[in-house]
Amino acid sequence: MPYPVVFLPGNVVQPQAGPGQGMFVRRLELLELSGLSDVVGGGDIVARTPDPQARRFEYKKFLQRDLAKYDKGEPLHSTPSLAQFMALVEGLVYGHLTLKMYDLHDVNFDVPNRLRYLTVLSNRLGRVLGGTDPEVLVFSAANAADFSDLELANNQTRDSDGVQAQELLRGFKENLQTRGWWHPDHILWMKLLDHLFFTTTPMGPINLDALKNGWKQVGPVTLKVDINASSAQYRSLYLPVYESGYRDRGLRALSGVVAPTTGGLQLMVNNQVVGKILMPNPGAAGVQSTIRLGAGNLVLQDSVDLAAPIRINYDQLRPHLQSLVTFLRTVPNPVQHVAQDSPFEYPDAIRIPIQHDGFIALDGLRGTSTGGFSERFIERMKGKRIINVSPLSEGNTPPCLIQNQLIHCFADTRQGAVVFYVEEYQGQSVEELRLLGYILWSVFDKNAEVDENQRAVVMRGRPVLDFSGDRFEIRTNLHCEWPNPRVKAATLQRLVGVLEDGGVPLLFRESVKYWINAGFSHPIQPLVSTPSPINIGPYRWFINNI
Amino acid sequence: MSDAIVAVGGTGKRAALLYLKLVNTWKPVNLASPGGNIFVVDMEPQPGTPDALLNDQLQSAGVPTSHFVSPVPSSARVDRTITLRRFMGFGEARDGDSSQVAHTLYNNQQLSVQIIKGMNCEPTVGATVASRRFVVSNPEAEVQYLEDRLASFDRTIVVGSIIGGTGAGVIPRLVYWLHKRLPAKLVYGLLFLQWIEIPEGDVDEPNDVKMAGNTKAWLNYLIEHHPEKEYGEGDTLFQHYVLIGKPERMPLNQAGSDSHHPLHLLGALYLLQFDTFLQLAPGATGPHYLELSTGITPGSIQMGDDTMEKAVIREKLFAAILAELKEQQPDEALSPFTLFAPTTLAWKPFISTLEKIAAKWNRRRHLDEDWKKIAGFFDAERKVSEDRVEELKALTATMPGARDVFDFDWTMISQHADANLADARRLVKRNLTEAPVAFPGHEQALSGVAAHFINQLRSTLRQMSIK
Repeated sequence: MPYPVVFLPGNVVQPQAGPGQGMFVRRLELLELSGLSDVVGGGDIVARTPDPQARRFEYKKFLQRDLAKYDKGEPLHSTPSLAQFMALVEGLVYGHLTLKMYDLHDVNFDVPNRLRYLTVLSNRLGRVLGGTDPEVLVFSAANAADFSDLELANNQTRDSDGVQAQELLRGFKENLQTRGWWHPDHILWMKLLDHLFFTTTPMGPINLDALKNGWKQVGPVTLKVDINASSAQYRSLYLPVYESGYRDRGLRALSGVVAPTTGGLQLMVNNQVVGKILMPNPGAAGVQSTIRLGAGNLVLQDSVDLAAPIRINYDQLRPHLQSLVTFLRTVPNPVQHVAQDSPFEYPDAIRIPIQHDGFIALDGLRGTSTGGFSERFIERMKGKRIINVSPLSEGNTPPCLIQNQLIHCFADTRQGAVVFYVEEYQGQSVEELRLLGYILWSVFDKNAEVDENQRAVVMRGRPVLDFSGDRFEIRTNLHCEWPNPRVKAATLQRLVGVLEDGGVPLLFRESVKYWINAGFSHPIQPLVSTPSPINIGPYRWFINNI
Repeated sequence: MSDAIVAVGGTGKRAALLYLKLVNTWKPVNLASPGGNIFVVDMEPQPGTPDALLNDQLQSAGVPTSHFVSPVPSSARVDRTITLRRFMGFGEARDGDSSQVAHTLYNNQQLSVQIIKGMNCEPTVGATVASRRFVVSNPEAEVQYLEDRLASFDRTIVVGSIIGGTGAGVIPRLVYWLHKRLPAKLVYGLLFLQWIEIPEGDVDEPNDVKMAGNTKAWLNYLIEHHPEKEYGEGDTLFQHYVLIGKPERMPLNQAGSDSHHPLHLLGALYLLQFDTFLQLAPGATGPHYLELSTGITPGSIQMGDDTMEKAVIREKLFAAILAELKEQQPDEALSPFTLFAPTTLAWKPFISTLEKIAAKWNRRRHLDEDWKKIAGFFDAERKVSEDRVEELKALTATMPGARDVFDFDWTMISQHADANLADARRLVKRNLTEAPVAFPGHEQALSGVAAHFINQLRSTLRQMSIK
């Protein structure tokens, strides 16, 4: 053998003629190491990497190699790993694949955190086709026949619901991009999606609202999103799936009866099972583990009655889902966070209610106070996706009347907390001021009675106003009326006279004034009288004596 | 600096054995107990198999039995037919059917490997098994002992192949464990590429295709862990590591052959010279390879102040002088007239030592018998010494492909040894001193004084300046 000689196969490194005799230890450059990998044979290795999760690593390698070929013009069908990647991603967003999350600690795998939860992708027959991976999104573990079936199913969907599914996927990308989490030059799965799915320049940003009725999410899966070593590089995200009519069915299913069942919550509408919220058993790791295993994923049947009303059943959902939203306490603007900024970080049992009912959903799921608003207001704002109601602005010092483009209300204070009586919000009539005025008029005119506890008002035998301890609640079925001014002129004048009494609380005064102004076109002159005082809740009011 | 060598799998054991053979031939002063720095991580072999023979040889060469550690947790070793599927408990997950996990990560062939019998050329299986053994916190006594012993060395060199199932599979996890448990210790690697060819046979058996696949997968794994790799893992396996593969035209060993390959000896030489290399390149990181500018001559292999050539000559002198000792007669040994004889070694230290033994145990009538026993010890040691040199000769001169690596002129070495024999004899004769006989029994005294003289002989020859 001619000297000098290198003890590696394939002439990937040329010997260096140098001074000295004998054995030299020389550095192998990265390119030379890659060259060595190319000359040792081995073909397309499958599951031979020295790691329990070999397939992930190998698939990543194939993807890198095939992407380089694809970028040089090779067709997709001659780059098998890319074809598989596309098939798996399409199968996922078209809903042909189901995801199931496993905690590898349960099978005693000692793995880094980012790989702890393995998401298995399987077809409708339960056959495994692959898994998800933080670096490459999906990896393949399928045989040729199962792939062929998947590709066939994808072909049938691509030009129908597939269009919206790909739009939704683009929306997913844009959402991450907005958050500074899109680094295709450094993160392979992003580069793959850019090269294979987002090849055309979009006309404009995706309107996720336009896709909302088919917007479903599955997961969560752990994905690399950041390359900054000082921040969390991996995030737990839900992947978008387009399923036509999913939201309509989901909202109705969530409005049904909720009953715990094995591994989840059964949802029933009209005595029929229409779906399930997955709630895996919490492991030793607690609620985080439950979420990572898929808690809050919504699985719906096609049989949901679309005529059924939408009134999300927070009372029955709350005991089970409360733990999934507790950590939102530390998030600033949590409703906006879930509904708009970061919807792909939340399971559908949380996302869909919050995107539908806004802050009401979050309060409903958490069981917390609705921010000083009445039940009547909450009831009317359901489905309006109100992110944040904060009527108070600089210069408003309760108790005071607030009237701006957004809201017309009275802000009252009770034991340091502010409560609101809303007349109108975003053009939606709530009528709390005029109704409170009407009730007070009725009490004054002896058409309504204050109960013996002085906490409620009863009109024609029906309670119309309660003092809950924090605020007055107006019965939602009450309608406002005005008396004939010719018949009740003197009483009305005495009422206006009462309002000028300094002892009338501001809330009552403004409510009655609003009721009067809304019902009578002419001003009513005040008339002094000596009505009998009475307490309604914490406030003083009067009953006409004449 | 002290180095522990962790030999993983069959190839690792071969390199470690040859390293030990070199060390035992060399007898460096700083290695009090050769073999004490060798640790073996491999499955327990079935008795009578080539693998078991390799273990026996390692033990004979000085590796303590406590240094042999299985990569399989002890709880799984009670059943030799346990498969990977059963070992991992697939199908027994608390929530849901974990067989889906099994099929996502493994193929059926891997799930059916009977792990106690070997990893069947499936590194993914080896890695999986090791991931349960070399966990960050493992209370098993064997693993704790390994950690405690390794902690007493400054550096660890992990040796094994990347072509099979055990070495290729276990090494990454073992290195991870070393980093976690002994974070202050640097870990180096010596990784062998293909050195044997195995034609395709049963689907479950190792073959060339699988070995090539394993090699490629491992190299990709190393690329993935290369700090300069885009999209790479970024973490470091070894401080630095050397890859050894066969150059073009060097033959591979044939399947079924139990002989070593020249690459193993080259690896052993690297281990032997490791300290020298580190002194030349103290901050070396990443992958390395070996290059020979010429065939390795015994004079170019340096260890400390000595060369392999001198070590071999000393070993030959050692054997030659022991042979001469054996040939003496007891009466000759006791004769005062032989003291000045030029060719015999019947010197005063032998005479006085034998007399003390005779006096202490009343053996004056059995001097002949006692001397024969002492001479027997000399002869046994001579045989071991000659065998070592012959083995080295076989490895460097007659092993197929060895001439591509080594340039050992054994005729010249013998001539040098012969030329130094007279000087050696003179020196030994001058330096040999009487042996103490403070032994509890007569038999122990005979073996004890033999050992004393043998050590004196080695020590004297080590001080000798070889021409």
